[in-house]
Amino acid sequence: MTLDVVLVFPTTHLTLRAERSLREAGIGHRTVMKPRKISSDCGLAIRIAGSDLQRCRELLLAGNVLPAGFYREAGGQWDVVARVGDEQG
Amino acid sequence: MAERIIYLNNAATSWPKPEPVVNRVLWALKELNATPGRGGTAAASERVLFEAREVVAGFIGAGDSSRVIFTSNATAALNLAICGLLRSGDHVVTTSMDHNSVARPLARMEDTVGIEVSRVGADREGSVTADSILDAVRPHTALVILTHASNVTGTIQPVEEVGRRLRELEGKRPRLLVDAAQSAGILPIDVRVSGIDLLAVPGHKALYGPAGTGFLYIADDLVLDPLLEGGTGGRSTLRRQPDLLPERYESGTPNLPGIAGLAEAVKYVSRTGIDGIRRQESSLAAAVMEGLQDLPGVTLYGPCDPERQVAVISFRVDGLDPAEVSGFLEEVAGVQVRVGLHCSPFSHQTIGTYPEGTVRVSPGLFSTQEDIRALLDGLRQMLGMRRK
Repeated sequence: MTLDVVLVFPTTHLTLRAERSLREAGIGHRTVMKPRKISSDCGLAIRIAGSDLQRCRELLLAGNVLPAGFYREAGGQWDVVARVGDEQG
Repeated sequence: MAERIIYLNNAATSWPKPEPVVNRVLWALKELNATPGRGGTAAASERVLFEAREVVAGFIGAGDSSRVIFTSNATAALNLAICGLLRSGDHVVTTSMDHNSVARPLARMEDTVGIEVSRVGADREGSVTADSILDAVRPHTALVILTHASNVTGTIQPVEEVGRRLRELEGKRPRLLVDAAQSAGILPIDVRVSGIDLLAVPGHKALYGPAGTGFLYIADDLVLDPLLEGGTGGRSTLRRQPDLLPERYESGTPNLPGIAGLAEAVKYVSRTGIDGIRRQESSLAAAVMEGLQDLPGVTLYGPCDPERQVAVISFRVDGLDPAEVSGFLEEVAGVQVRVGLHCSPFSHQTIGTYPEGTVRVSPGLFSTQEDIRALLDGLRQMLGMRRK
C-alpha cells in the first residue's frame, strides 16, 4: 500500500491526536517529519493511502481533530487535495 | 547524632519517589534522544509529551489535553495564570492564606500594571468561607484566587462551593484560579465540575513526580498572554508567539525526562487511589496532632482536624525559636521538618505566628507511624533536656 497522501496539522498535539485516532481505527499510516515543501514549520505529519482519504476526513471531523490539510505529491510539488476545518493545515 | 533521616517535609517536596517514577525518568534520559518538534527521531519524544498531557488531563477532568500546559513548577504556573490574565484596572479577590507565588506576582501587577487586590481575611485556623469570597466580588472583578489547601496550616478552602457560586453569577463572571500545590494528589479535583478556570499544580509534591515539573490547566474559552516567548517547534515563521495550544505557552526545550516521570507519577497516584492516600496521611496527621497536644508548652495551629485539613501541621514550642526546634529534631532525632514562614508571610500574619513562623510537619505517602513516634520522641527529649 502506497502512503501517497500527507496529512498536515498546525500543531504537533493535533498530529498526535490524529495518529491515535488512525491507530484505533486500524487505518494504515506512518508518522514522518513535515515535508518542507508543504510547510516551513517544524513538526510531524502523517502519511496515509489515498484510498483512505475519505475515511480519514470523516474520522477527523467526528473527533474534532481540526484543522487539517491533505496533500498529494505531483511532479515534485505538493497539492492540496482536501481540507478539514477552516485553516490550511 | 542521628543515624538515619526521617523525612517529614513532603509539603516542600515529596520524598522518596515511587520506583516506577524513578525508572521512567531514567528510561527517558537513556532512550529519548530528540527534542520534541525539532527534527530527527522527535516523534518518540513528542508521543511521550502528548501521552503525559493526556494522563494529566484525565486526572483533573479536563476535556482537551491541549489545555494542560507543562511548567517547571506551580510557581511558574501561577505566574502564567496571574500575569497572563490580568489587565490594568482589573480587580482580584484572594485570601490571607496566599503563598508568595500568588502574592508576589499580584504585588508586581499592583505596582506596575495597576490592578486592585482585595485580600479576604481567613480566621485564626486559616479558613475562609464562600460567603466572604463572594461578598468581596465586584462588577470589575476579573479573578478569584483560592489556595486549595494551606502550605502552613493545611486548611482546606471551599473551592467547589466558590466555583459553583461564581458560575451562578449573572453577567461577566470572574475567573477562578486554584493553587493546588498542597491538594493535587490528595483531594479530588475535577476542573469542569468545580468551575475551575485555571489550576496550578506542582509535579513534585503530592503527585510524587520529579522536581522541575508542574502544569497549568487553562479553561477552553480562556486566552492568556504567554509568559515565555521563543521557539515552539512549529509556526517558526510567525513574528509573534502562535495562538494554538499548547505551543502558545510552552517555549523552549521541555523537561522531557521530568514530564515522563510526572505522567508515571500521576498514573501511580491514580492506581493507589487518592482516597486511600488521604486516609493514610490523615491518620499520620492525627497521630502528630494528638502527640503534640500532649506535650507541655506546644501550641498547634490550624484546624487541628484531619477532616478539615491536609497533612500539614504547624506548631511552636513556648520560649523556643522554631529554628532551634527544627535544628534539634534534625541533628539529634534525625527528623527533617521545615521551619520559618514557608514563603507565606500572610498565612503567618493570619494565624498569629509572624514573624518567627512555625515548625511545619508534613508526612507523606511513604511516612509511617514509626516516623511520627520518632518526631514525638525527639520533641520529648528536647523538652526534657530543656527542663534540666
